[in-house]
Amino acid sequence: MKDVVVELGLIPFTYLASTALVALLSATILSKKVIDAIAVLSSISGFALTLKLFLVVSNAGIALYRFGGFPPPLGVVYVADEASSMLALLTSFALLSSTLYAVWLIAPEARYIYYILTFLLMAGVHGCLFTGDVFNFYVSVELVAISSYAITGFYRDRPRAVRAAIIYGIAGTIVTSFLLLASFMLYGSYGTLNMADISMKARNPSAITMLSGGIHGDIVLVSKVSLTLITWVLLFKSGIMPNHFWLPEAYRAAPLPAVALFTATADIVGVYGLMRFYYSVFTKGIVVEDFRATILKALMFMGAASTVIAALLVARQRTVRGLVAYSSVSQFSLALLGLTAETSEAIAGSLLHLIVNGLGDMAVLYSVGILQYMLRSGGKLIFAMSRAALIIGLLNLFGILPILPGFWSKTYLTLGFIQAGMPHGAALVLISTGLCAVGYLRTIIRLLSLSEVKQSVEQDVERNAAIPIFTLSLLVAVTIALGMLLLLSSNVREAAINYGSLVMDVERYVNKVLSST
Amino acid sequence: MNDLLSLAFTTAITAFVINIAIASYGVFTKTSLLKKAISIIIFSDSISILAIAIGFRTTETQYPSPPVLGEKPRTPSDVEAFVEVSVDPLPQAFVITAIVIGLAAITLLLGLIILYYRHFGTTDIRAPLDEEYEEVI
Repeated sequence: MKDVVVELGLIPFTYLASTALVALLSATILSKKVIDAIAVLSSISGFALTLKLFLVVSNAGIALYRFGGFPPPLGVVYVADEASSMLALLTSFALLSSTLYAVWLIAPEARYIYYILTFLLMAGVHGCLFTGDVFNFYVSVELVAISSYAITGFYRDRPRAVRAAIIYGIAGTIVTSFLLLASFMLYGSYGTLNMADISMKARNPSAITMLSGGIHGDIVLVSKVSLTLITWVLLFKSGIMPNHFWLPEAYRAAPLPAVALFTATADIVGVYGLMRFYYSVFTKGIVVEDFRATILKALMFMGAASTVIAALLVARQRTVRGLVAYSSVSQFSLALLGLTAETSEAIAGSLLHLIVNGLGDMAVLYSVGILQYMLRSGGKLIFAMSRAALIIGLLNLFGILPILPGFWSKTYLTLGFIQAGMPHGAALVLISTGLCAVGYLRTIIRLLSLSEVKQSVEQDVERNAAIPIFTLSLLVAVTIALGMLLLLSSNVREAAINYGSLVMDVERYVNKVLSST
Repeated sequence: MNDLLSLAFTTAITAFVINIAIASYGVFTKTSLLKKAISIIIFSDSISILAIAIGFRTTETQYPSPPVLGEKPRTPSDVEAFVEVSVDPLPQAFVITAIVIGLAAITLLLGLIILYYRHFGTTDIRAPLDEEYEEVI
C-alpha cells in the first residue's frame, strides 16, 4: 500500500474536472476573467501534483495507483516511474505556460474552448505517460488525438486550419484504430491487457498469473503483428518520417500556444510509447526477441533518415512555425535513435532530448509570438527580452552551450551510441545538429533584423505584454536552471543516466506492478 | 454441427479481415472526404466485430451463452457449468468503449468536413488552397 500514491490518480482527474468546470461555467458565467482564473489555477494544480509525484518517485521509486482498487492484472493501474514522472513534469509545465500565453493571445470569446480542449489533451497525455494497461493506452492516445484534431481546427474560419485538421483527423483515426486492433489481439493471446503481465508472459510463455491465467494459443505471430502495429502507430504520433505529413500542416494552422503544447506534450507520446513498449513490455528475452531486434534496427534506419532529411528541411523553412515543425521531427527522430542504442546513456539522452525540444520550441514560439503581435506597440525592452529568449531557445535546440540542457541531451546520446558500438549514431547526432544549425542561425539573423511585420486581424488588438513576458521569463529561467544543474552537479548528471538505466530494468517494473495487491 | 460452426466462424473472421483491407483501401485512395469518412466507419466497425469474435467461444455440448447468471448458483457444479458456456464479457466492454470513442472521432470529422465544404465548395481533398493569410515570422 506504501507504493500507492493518490496524486497519480488525481492528475488526470484534475484535468478532466477542469474541463467539465470550464465547460459548465462558460455557459453560465459571463465574466471571462473567472474562466481564465479557473484555467490558470487548474494548470497550477496539475503542475503542483506532477511536481509532488516527481519528488515522491525520485525518492521512493515506482509509484502506483489502482483505479477502483482492483489488484493488477485486473483493472487499470497507473504506474509512474522516473521517466514518466519527469516527462509529466514537462507536460504540466508546458500546459501552465500555454494557458498563461493563451490568456494573452487567444480571443476572449473563444478562449474557453481552447481551455477545454487543452485540458482534455493533457488528461490524455498523462494517461499515456502513466498507464500500465494497453487498452487504457489506446483510450488515452485517442483522447490526445481527438483533442489535437479539434485544436488544429481551432481557427475554423481559416481554410488552412480546417484542411490541416481533416488531414490529421482522417490519418490519425485510421492509425489509432490499429492500436485498438493490436490491443484486442494481445488480449486474445495473452489473456490480459496489463503491460507488466504481458511482459512477463512474453518472456516466459508458461507463466500463470493469478486472475488472468496463462497464454492462449500461439503468441509468436500475435506478438509480431501487435508490435509492428503499435510501432507504426507511435511513429505516426511523433511524426517520424515518412509518417510526418500531418505535422507541418497542423503546426502551421493551430494557435501559437497550442503548437507549443503539441511539441512539448502530445507529440512526445509516440517516442515515449515506443520506449515503454520496447523496454517494459516487449523487452529483451521475449519469445520474439529476434523480431524485436530486427524492428529496432529498422527503427534505427528510419530514425537516421528522418533526422537528416528533416534537418535539411529545417534550413529551407521561411516561417518559424515551419522551422519548429521540421526541427521537432528531426529532434524526435534523434530521440528515437537513442532508444535503438539500448544503453543507459542513450535512453537518458532520449528522455532529456524530449524535454529539451519541448523547452526550446516553446521559447522560440512564445518569443516569436511577442515579436509578431507587438512589433508596433511594444517597447524596446520587450523586444530585447523576446529576442534574447528566441536566441536562447534556438541555442538550446542547437545544443552547443553547456549551460543549456540541449548540450547535455546530445552529449548523452553521443556517449550512448559510442558505448553501444554505434559510431554512426554519434555521427548522425553531429550531422543532424549541424544541418539544423543552418536553419536556426538563418532564423536568428532574420528575426534580429526584423522591423515590420504584415499584420493580421488579430494583431490589431491592444495587448499588454506583462503575461507573455512573464511566461517567457519563466521558461528561460527553467531552461537555464536545468542546464546549470546538469553542468554544475554531478549528482544530477548521474541521476539522469540512472533514470535511463531504470527504464531498462523490466524486472523492477513487472515485480512492482504485479506484487502490489 | 461443430464443424459447421467452426467453418462459419472462420468465414466470418476472414470476412472481417477482408473488410478491414477494403476499408483501408478506401481511406487511402478515395479523394472524397465523405467516402474517406464512410471507409473509416467500416474500418473501425470491422475491428470492433473482430474484437467481439475474440471473446466468442465454441463449446462441446451446447451453444455459448452471455456471461449473465440468471439465478444464484447453488452448487460449485452450477458455477462450473456457467463458466463452461459463458463467453468472455471483457471484449464487449472494450468494444463499447471503442464505439463511443469512434463516435466522437467521426462526429468531429464530419463537422470538419462540413466546414471544409463551406470553405472550398467541394469535399475533394485536392481542392486548391487560396492562402488568405500567411504567417510571415
